[in-house]
Amino acid sequence: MARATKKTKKVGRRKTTKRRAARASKRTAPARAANGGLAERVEAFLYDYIDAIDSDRLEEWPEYFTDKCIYKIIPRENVERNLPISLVYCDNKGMLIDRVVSLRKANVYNLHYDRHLVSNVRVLPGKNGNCKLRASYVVYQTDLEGESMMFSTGRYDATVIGAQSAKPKFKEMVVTVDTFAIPNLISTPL
Amino acid sequence: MRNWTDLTWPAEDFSRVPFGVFQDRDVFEQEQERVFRGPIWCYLALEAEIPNPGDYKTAFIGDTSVVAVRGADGKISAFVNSCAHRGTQLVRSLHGNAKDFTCVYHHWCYDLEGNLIGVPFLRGLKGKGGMPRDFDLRAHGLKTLRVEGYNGVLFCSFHRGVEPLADYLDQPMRDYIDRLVPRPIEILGYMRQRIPGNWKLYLENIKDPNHAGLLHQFQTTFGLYRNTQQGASIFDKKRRHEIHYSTLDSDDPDDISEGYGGVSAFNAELKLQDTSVLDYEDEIGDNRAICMMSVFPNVMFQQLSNSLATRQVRPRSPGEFELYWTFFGFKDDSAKVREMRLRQINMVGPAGVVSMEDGEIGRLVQLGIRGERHRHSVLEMGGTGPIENQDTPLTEVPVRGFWRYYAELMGYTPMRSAAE
Repeated sequence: MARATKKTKKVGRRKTTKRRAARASKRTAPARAANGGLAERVEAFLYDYIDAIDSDRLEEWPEYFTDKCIYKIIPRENVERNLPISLVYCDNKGMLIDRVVSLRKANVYNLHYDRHLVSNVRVLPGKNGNCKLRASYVVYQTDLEGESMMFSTGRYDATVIGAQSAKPKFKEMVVTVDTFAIPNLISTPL
Repeated sequence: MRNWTDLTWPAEDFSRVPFGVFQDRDVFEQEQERVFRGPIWCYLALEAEIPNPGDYKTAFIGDTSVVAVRGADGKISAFVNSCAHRGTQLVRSLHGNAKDFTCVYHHWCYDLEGNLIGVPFLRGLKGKGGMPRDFDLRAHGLKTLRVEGYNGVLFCSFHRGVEPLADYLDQPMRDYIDRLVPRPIEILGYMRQRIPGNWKLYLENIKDPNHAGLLHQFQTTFGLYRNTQQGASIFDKKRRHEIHYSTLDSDDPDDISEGYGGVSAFNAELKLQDTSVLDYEDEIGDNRAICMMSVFPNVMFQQLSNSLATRQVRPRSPGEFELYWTFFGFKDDSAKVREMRLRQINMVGPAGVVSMEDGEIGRLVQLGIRGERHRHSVLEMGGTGPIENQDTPLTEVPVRGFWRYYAELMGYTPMRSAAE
């Protein structure tokens, strides 16, 4: 085979890269394309929400919820045994605001940074612009001396309303905690 | 009694506790033997957790795993969760229902009372192998514990000579359980909290009513509990258990500003958007919004508003314990009270706006005493000397009651003070 000229080589590489990219996007594209971008919008909303927590903008956290909402953190062992006790149970935005104020002004807890990693995000469209969101999460906590530990892992099950609007909100966010032997205490939202 | 470590107890009234007891590995090991297998009754479970014949649940006595089982005859047995053959953990799930228990390793099979009832290939095969002719199954059952219950609360003991449970508890504690459990229980759920501190720090914490009105600003600010309220501590005859209660709305603004003026624990700025978590239904009828009991060595009974629970302190190592919470209500709860119980968890547990500090304080004490094993804490709030019932929350005398019985079991002798 004659040695390829520079020009041919470049084009060949571009084509291969393009083909690889097309194959990769086919694997993930159908779920997104079929929803007309809904999944992307909801995922972006989720990442904004997580960023508010991790950046210590906790006062913004309640604003991601509707006035009447559910925010629940529940141990997986209670879910599996069909027992109703949760670790956190809020049924309106006021209770979320109260939790933030309590953390800022009253509670004594281990000062730390949070770092959420969220993956396996699935979006299921529902009626009236609502949708269901399910994802896996891991939260690492880093103490004041820079030591990080895996604090919690589990699952999010959420209902998002106004997913196509400019301001989606959580109507419901249920955090099922796999790590239900809680490392000491839960202060900042999971 | 004799001192068997180099830790000293300089005060006869146990107002000085050496920090080494919270840190030393050999103290931890001795506690398993002298405290948890000593003349005590250890909380096992609630009967409502294992209601039917064959129901079982694993639990911990110290750091020994045990299984509580309801037999076919309805009686509760408890045994160490370890096969009599070669020690394998026998019961591998946390709870369930079984007709018998078979070890995965060699399939030794036990009945619900822990008796060995079957060994595969006992007589070998075709004249080869098998157990010796004189192998007696009856001599190789599981290690069992004594089990006694009071009003639906189960306790167990390794000790063959311990007094009956009713006497161990004593009248005030039996009355408390009657008050807490007047009707059939329904289990509502569990919480687990791994606290990076020594297990005894939690007993000190719950037997200290003074801290509750200073550390826990949430409850202080909203009047759920304040050191200025009327409160009392009641002991059993041997001062090892304790009940503490406080009466809602029993302090006036003058008391509060005198008591808390200048102390930053009372934050007048804190205002709730939603006060529903503070709603309280006086279902018992004595206006005691908070009433807690600790039973030596490691269980606490909680009534905080309408949130009812047991809290067991499960030691894992000198520097870690698991706090295991069992929440319950009653089968005949109204929808309103049931909802209140589910809502009030926001105050307790590892995410509780009141309780979370108890986890953090355990961590902070364990950190603070590093390298200080021969230094002593100072327990003089409420006075020194005799350990008597208290009529104020401004005390840590109940903490000394814990240490007195602990020291007796561990063989520690406090020194006579120079003044005496």
